[in-house]
Amino acid sequence: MNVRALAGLGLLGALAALALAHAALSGGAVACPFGVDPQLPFETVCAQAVGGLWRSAALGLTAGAGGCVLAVAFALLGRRLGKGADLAVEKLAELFFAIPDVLVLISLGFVARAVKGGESVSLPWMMVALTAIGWAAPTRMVQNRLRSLERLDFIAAARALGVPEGRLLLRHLMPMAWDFLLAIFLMRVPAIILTESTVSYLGFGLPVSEPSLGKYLGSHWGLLLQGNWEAVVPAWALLVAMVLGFQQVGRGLLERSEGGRR
Amino acid sequence: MSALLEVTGLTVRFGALAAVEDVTFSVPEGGTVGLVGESGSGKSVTALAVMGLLDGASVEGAVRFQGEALLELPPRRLQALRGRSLAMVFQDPGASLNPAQRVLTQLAEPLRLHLRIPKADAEARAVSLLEAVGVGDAARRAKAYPHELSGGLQQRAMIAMALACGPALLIADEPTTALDVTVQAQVMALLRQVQAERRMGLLLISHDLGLVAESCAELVVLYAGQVVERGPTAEVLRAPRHPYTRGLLASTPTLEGQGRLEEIPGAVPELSAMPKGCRFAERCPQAQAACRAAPVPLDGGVRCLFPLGGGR
Repeated sequence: MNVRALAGLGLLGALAALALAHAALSGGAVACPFGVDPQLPFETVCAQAVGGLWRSAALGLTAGAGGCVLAVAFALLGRRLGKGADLAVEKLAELFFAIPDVLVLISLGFVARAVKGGESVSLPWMMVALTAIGWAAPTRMVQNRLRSLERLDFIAAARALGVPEGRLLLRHLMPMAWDFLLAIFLMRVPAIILTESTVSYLGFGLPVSEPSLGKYLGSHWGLLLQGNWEAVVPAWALLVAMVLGFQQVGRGLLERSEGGRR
Repeated sequence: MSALLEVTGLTVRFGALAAVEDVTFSVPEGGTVGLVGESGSGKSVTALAVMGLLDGASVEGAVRFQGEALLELPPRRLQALRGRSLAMVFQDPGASLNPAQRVLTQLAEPLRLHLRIPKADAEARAVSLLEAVGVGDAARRAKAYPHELSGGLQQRAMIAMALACGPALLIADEPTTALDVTVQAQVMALLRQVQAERRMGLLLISHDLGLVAESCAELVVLYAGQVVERGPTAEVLRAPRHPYTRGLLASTPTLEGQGRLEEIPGAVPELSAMPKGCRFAERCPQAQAACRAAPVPLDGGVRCLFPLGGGR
């Protein structure tokens, strides 16, 4: 594993340790150094920030995994059904990719609230919505990866032995793409976290009672103008560290995956 | 001997560019035919076209194998023939074996696919196949990953995979190019032995005229995608009629040879800039104006207006 991935992993490990330490110490033995949340006096800033960290991470990991599963399914289906279907998947993914995620998510939020009522959307709803809009980029990446793997000699050799296309995809091509898939999954996680944070920051996301980091920052940014940085900076720091950590691990694995193929 | 494989007027185009044009030859049952030429002459493209492995190319002409028109077969039928009746050994065994699978798994795969035998039986037979191609301690080596084997062992494993289902025709595309000289000799001896035992047809593709001369009864010389000369190997080597064949022979080292080897000046023309007339004219010491004026047909086994030794 390269230095970049190790650094990212270290950052994520530190965040996990911090969150676990907070859970262990939240009984009251150690007070939060940043005090109580001025908007919710029965919650500390630490509890709000760490809670937001868990929610943002859960959203990113779940929707990232869901998007990658959809991407693999679409890419495999396209390759299995032939060139026309593969091209159709490619064009559909490009079309989806061209539409800004934030706008789609806000529009879906409006629809959800119109149907179900309420001021915000639930965590499971947000997971499903982020999955539904997050398949396009990984699909194109998986398609490209499969196409480049297909040019390798051992694939032609397997075809020359009469290996059927479906088996070729599952037994010969996909095992060569797992490290790449893991890398794009890890790179999707921070992108999803930032998309959700943006939407929640603008007030269209999760409820204030169950804030993600973006929601917390969106509802508390005004405190900065009053000089109360202690209530805001911890959440900013956690968001930046988490996004940076996932990005570095993902990029490190991608570099390793690309290097391994050269 | 009846023809096992008949290739007639094979033309392969990538877009508007013809990489192989009007190639005709046949491989008899149990016979060996050599396809020779330098890099870029269209040897591998010809082999891949016969196997139906060219993606994105337009293939014209006729390829008949055991009476079946390969180019017209539905994909499923062609897939059933590949590995079962028609097999291919590739140039670089290191790149042609799946790096993520054990050799045993890869060897057992064609047996399970084509002969429908259970996994345990297929693996037992795979080990026997490795022994048959001269791999010592086959049971242990079968469990290795390709990178754990030497180049010679990898190529033996590739040959074992190709022979697993007893194909009637083996296409060996530069099977020894990536190997050391001593291992080259072993692999060629193995191919000859297997061919003699099984009466299998062998299409041997090589840029090495010496290698082909030792193994093949018939010789097809390709240049810039066209057959420039073909005939019995002994005859072609004794009295080459095309200046290119003569040039290839003169550039092949021999034990008796003295002094510097001759070289063929220039290079194979680019696909996008093929001359209208003879494709070898720019490099031919005896080219005349007529050679460049119009395409030269293959006539009497040679594509030359002024063949060596006269005639035509």
